[in-house]
Amino acid sequence: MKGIIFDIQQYAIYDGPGIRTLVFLKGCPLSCTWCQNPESQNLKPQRSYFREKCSLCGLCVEECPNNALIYSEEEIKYNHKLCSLCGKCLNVCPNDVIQIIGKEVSVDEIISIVSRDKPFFDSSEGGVTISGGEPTMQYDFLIELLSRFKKEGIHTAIETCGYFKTEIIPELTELVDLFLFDIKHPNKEIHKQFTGVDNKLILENFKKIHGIVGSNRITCRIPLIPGINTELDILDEILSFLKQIDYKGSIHLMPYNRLAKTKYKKIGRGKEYIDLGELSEKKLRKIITKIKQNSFEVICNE
Amino acid sequence: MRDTKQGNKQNLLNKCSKDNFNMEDIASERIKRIRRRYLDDIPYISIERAKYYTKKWEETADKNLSYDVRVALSMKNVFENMNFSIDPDDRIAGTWTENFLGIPIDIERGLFNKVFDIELNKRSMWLFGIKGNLNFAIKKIKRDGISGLLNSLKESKEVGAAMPSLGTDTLDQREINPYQIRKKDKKILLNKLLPYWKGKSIAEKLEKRFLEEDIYDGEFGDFIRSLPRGTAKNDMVTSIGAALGVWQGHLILDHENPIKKGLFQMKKKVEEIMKIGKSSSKEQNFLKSIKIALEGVIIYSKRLIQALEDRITSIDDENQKEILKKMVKVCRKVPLYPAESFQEAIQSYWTVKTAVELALPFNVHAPGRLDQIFYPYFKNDIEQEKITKDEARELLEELFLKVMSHNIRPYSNSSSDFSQRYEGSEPVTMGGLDEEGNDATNELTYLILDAADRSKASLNFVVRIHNSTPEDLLMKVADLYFHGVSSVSLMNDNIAMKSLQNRGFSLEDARTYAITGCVDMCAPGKTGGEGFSSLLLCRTMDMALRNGNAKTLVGIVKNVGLKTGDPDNFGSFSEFLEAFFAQADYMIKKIVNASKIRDGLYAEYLPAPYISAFMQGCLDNKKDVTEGGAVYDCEGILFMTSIANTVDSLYVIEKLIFEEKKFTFKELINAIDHNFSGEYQEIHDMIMNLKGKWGNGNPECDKLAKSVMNHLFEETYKYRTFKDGFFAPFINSMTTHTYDGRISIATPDGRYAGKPFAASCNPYNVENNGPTGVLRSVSALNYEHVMGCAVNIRLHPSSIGKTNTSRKKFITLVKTYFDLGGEQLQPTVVSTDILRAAQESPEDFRNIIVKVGGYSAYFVDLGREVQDEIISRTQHSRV
Repeated sequence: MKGIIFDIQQYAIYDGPGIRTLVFLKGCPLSCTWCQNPESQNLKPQRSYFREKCSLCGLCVEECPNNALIYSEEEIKYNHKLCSLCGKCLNVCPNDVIQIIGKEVSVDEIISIVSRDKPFFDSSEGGVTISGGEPTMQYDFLIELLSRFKKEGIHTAIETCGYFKTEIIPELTELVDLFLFDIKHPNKEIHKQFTGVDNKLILENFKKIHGIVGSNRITCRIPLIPGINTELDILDEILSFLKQIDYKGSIHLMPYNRLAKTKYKKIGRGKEYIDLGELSEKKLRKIITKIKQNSFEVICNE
Repeated sequence: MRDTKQGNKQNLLNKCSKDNFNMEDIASERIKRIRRRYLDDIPYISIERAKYYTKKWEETADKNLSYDVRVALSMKNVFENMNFSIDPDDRIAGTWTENFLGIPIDIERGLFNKVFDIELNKRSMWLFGIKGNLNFAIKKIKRDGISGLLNSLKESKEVGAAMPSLGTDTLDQREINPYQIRKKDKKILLNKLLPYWKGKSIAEKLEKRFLEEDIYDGEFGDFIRSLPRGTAKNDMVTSIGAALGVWQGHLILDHENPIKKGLFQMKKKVEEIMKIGKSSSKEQNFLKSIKIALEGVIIYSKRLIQALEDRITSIDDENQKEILKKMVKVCRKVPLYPAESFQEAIQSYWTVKTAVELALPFNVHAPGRLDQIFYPYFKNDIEQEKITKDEARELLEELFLKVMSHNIRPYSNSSSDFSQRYEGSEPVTMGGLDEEGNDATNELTYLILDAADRSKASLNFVVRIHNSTPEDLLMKVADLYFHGVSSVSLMNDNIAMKSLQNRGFSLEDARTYAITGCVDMCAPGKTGGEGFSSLLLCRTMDMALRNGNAKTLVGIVKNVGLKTGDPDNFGSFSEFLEAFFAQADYMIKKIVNASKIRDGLYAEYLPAPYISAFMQGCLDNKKDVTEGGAVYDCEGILFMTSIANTVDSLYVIEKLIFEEKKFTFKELINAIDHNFSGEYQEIHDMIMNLKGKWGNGNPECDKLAKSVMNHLFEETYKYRTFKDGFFAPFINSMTTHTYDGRISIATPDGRYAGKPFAASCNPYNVENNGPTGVLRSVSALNYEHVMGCAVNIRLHPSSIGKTNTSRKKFITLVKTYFDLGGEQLQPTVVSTDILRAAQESPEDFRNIIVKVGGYSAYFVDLGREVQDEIISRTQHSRV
């Protein structure tokens, strides 16, 4: 079986226990305003082009067999309808400004790449973390991957936005050793406004999974987005939800950073990038104290 | 304009604090002053050693004395007449020249005689340059005609390569690694001293012997004579694929003996042996020579006391007087008598090291296991409250900066772009095991690491790691790395000990090993010297491609290797591999022969009584260290230019020529000769599209790497040295990967002409399989036969992180790599952003230390090409 991934990262030390390999599956049902991996949203492979480093030499335009590229003095224009993603343009580019994000790979390939790091997983009690996008978007592929990792004796984790059909939960809880589960906002309307979807299903799924696997196998993660969910009363609501379902795990905070700006530009969505500013150190400390006061352990990758 | 620059600078500094790079300088003002002067002062060339040595050498010429006795006497004469520099910031006394920062001249060995002869004056540099270029042109025209010469020049120009040129910047004017000399000294040096040694120095004798003994094959002799060359003679090429280090060999002196017994007692012991027992006249001479050597160091010590006392009477400052009086008290005792306190142990170590270093400049006599040697004195002083930990640490900081000041060399300007002021080798070894196999980590281990951090001395600080290394020590190392202290490197005891035992070291000596040179394992105080030669792997492979000819950017050299046949006639990859092995074996044999000539010359003309007096085995065997008197002896063969490029090339050849039949050898050679340009771009694409080269943890390629290297490793230890030591492989490139790359043609792995090779044991074609991929590939080689290697990995601070959890993961990464069979690791933990910032405003980043080949260096001291090579190494990070 094959699926579409956009990256594999070894030696990930902030995405679950031990040393892990991250596998990024393409496609996401959400469209968060602050998305840090905009290239992950679309399920299909896509072209990325970094205008700032392009010398406008025009080699790619000459090379393109489908006339999908048009030369202009400002940039190389791109017609995605004509593009077959053949990759000829990136081979000729002298400045490496073109990339194809997402490629089709087989389960076997991924298993073989990831399992090579088994000595590091074993010694550090690490494993594989399947991330995205939203890994459940390529559900059959995900299930096949997870079952194979289980067979290899590799600890499995997924990073999920929680927006998936509730009926897949039994199967998921069989195969996933650890859920790294995002809760972004407690308010239905605001959630919909900034992510495109309602949070009801997400909270239900969290509750349901937690009910089955308990707090040891699910971690609540909160992306801290300045101006959106960093006010203490908003966090309070999330915390009361967690208390209500008797969640005893730690809370993993992920402060927003501005690194995604070029990513948006590269996939031709530069205008969509919104700079939400940076979370101040002081504010972060306040948030951490608040969560600790509510007797949750905090993990924060600053 | 200025505002933007200031703004940028502020941004950079903000960025640094974000990356957690430690810009803060927490050293005391005194240490800061010493460091600043070492970094900024232009070192003086001192002629005292050369002058007093030569004087005595001349005087003893007709006295029918043996060479060892003459060497000992000549050097003793230096100690009797030399001057010292005493600085207000000194707490440890003794310098090897009359300057705060300076170098002596090894005139009788002559590694740098020609540098002084030519590079002190613009006129002689011009003449040398013109002569060299004319010579090159004439030879080239004679062979290939004018069009041949022009073609060759065009070819090298196209790929941006250039033969390193001497230029016209005299020693004192050059930007990288400059030296100054006083006018009257220059006159004496040029008019008297250098002319006297012309033809007599070991370097020149060696050059002559290479010609006489027909060491060069085919057209190589002519080729090498026709090249415009540098003037330093620290190494000599013997073939396209092999070179030889000219000095005697890196080592660690037996410092425990003088610290514990004192020089008087040591001398007494020699005298006793002279009296009792029968000795041949050769042995008598040897004993006499080390007795004189000990007297020499005693004189050095006594005159140092005198110099301190003279200073006391010549100054008025009462504080300074008090400081000097304390130093006098220490120096009256050590190294003449046994040391009792921490300060005395350090002074004893320093006095002996400085005197012996002066007797054999630039030979690299590493400190050894300082946390073990000094610990009893430290413990005692702390218990009796004679010293505080802060005071002890500051003494260590001063010591490390001082050790660094012995590690400067006046290389030729032609290689200055590839050089730096402080070649931060001289490793300090810490941790590890004691003789019985127990963990040897102690409080001093941690204090030395702190001193390394605070002093920011550009030395190597080697932490030995084994199964029971305390977690605290590992966390300490992780913390230092996180803050950008990249002078620390890590050794895997399990593998290192096996490697030592495989070469005949006893279990006890294997347990107590230390590192000298850059990364070379040895039994401290027992290993008489690790000489160095190098096997240039990619160049050697080129011979297999061209049936025994070889190509460089300055033309083809015919018949330098064996006639192994036209590769297109080979039926299988293994036949090609055999051809490569045949060429490599032949180069190794050349190295063996050349090193025997060199070692023979040293034994005959320049024995080393000053080492022999401080090396175990010599007195028992009544034999000089150059004759093989020490307990162990070894010649290292460095595997350079480079394992990664060679393995990847072989992988390309196996896959694309033999398995997939994408092109023929002829087409590949054409593509290489045209630097993959024009119609050959396609071949380059195919090569680059072949994924899974070494460094990506691809089991197939890693297996190839292991089997190829095993063959070469085994070939080295077939041979014995002149001193009946063993040959063994080392994997360390210093900066030659950049230097050699500049004059080397493209290689089958897709590396373009003129570009640097991979450094040391680093992979080259790293895709993106993270540090785990790199470390899996690197650990695939069989290090149980490697006597030292450097594995550089560049990490972003986030790979170590701020929290205990993340740091433990980093430690597990290292330990797992060691369990997989890795021998050494030396991370440079500085982000790309900061290195680029340092290129832009060097003055703000004066203290950044990076790992170059096997040693540490101040980043801003490096030439641009070397800096760029370091930046180009994959940065492993999560961002």
